[in-house]
Amino acid sequence: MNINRSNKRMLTGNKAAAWGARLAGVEYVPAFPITPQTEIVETLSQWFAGGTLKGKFTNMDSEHSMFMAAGSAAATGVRVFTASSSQGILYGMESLYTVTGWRVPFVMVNVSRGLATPITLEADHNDVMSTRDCGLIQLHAETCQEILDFVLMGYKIAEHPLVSVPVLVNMDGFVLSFSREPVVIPDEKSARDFLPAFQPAQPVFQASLPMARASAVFGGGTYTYFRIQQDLAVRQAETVFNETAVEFADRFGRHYEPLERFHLDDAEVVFVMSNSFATKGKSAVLRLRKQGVKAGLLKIRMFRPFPDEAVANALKGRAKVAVIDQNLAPGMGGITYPEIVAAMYGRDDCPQKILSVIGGLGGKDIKENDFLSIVEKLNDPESKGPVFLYDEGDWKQFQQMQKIAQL
Amino acid sequence: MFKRINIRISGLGGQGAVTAAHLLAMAANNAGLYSISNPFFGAEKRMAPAESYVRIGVERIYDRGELVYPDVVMIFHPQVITMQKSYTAPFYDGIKENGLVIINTSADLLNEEDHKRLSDLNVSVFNHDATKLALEIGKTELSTNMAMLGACAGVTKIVGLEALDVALQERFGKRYVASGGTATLDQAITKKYAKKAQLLQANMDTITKSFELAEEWTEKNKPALANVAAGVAKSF
Repeated sequence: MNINRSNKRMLTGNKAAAWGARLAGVEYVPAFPITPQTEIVETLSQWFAGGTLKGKFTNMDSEHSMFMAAGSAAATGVRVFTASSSQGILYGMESLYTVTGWRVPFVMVNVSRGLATPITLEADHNDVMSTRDCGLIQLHAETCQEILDFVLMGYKIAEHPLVSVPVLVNMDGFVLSFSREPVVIPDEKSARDFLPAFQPAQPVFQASLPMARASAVFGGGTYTYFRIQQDLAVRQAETVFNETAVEFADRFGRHYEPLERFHLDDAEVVFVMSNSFATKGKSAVLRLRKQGVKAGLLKIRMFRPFPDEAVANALKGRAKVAVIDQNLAPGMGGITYPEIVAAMYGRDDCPQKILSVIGGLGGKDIKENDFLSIVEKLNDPESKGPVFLYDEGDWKQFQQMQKIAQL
Repeated sequence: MFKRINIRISGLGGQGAVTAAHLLAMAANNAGLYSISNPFFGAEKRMAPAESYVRIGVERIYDRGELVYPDVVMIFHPQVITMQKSYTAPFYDGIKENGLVIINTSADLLNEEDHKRLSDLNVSVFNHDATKLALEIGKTELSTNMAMLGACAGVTKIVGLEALDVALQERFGKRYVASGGTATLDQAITKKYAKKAQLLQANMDTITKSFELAEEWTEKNKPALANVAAGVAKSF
């Protein structure tokens, strides 16, 4: 283990992402800035300009071209990194579907921010959830350390010959992107030993070797073949993630599983959460335990492929489960809730109650009282989801805003 | 026994409220404590409200984001109070009992009700003319955040001057490396870095002077948080 050769520094989530890309030795970064992601591409542009990173940094005219450039460059066999957020992700959506179908590996970071309308800047997962069905592998980070580590691990997973699919690493805007906390930065040599130079498993584009890739197919049969291949590749990423995690732990001393189990072993009441607000959930679990409530938390790190077996094993036999979604599908509820429920379907040790809770929309704080109110709702046999974390105080605050707006 | 201190900074865009929070968190980290800092702002615009938060403790910190219950509130600009340029109203909302408020001002900005509510909570108010100090020693208004940092450390002793100096160097003091190019270029770079070193020193001087003034104020006014974290960093 090389833990002692590492260097611990106070980094923002954005800087941690940039460091991940730097240690991966990225060779091409197509960029388009957007709050709260800007610091990532700004940092990388300085490193390219100063010669710390060798390769090319290009400012693109939009996220649409940016993702297309990322995919194209990866198809030529270079290691690519890019990042975006919110409206940028939506604008680039067509390209995202396109390049995942090309089966080219690269890593992108999404800094989660609520979608318009109304427009906002703070954390909310509707942006990343909109990419849920693109064919990307998705790893969601709770801490600045996880961001750096997931970017490094991300390349290893994306470039695995059985996977060859882009990886998206998600972090929350502001709460993580601008938060500064201690991050262990692996030294360059260990990072390089863990992640050698990119060796494409598939043929790459070369000027001397004309080749067609991703041509049009007519007749659903061929199309379906490619789609099944894509499904298999993304599913394969769970095994590859687990193998990669073992190797990562051997080298760097930090071990990650697709799920994190926090005080889960004897838990009767479980919060299912993801991303940075999971820290708030953990704090609530510790406090509830002091009050005699056997609470626990299941944090989902990997959303694609969805680790349904692992989720079912973690939640089986629990009395009450609250799935807290920081996103909203209007007219339906939380986006990840049905996935959790589907994982439990047909099992006789299914929890008595699985409640859908919507909180943290547009970065709205999830306070300790909110967790208490969730426990109350779980204990109330009449309660039905989705439960919105929005109380009397929030309503009063809104009325105050209305008054000001009418002045 | 000292376990945790939560600090909320309210200022205006461009004053360095975010940088101040980051420096304090970095200094605490250097001193072996757990720390996390994060900002909150809307449009990235000068003179628009900006807040930042620092949490420092001897145990792992399990919360992040907006800080609702601070021990210390620092106000970097009088307009935060007088014109309510703030995300938090009143500016001391949520402050804990026995807390501390440090305001960059030469005059008392609080009304009777504010005074009563704060004194009911046994919160001490330190009116500290940080901008004046910044102009006198740092020779620029931009050092106001440094003066505020020094004041916070001076009262609470959450970090010492040495840790702050290291953080300052870490954040701003990039080492000068000869370009290996022409002599003229090297000269230009040396000049640039010499100026930077001077600026860093002026900032550190501002922090130090402010720290000393805060110690004097603490001695005289005996706030509840006086020297609350003294020795913690070393004994940790």
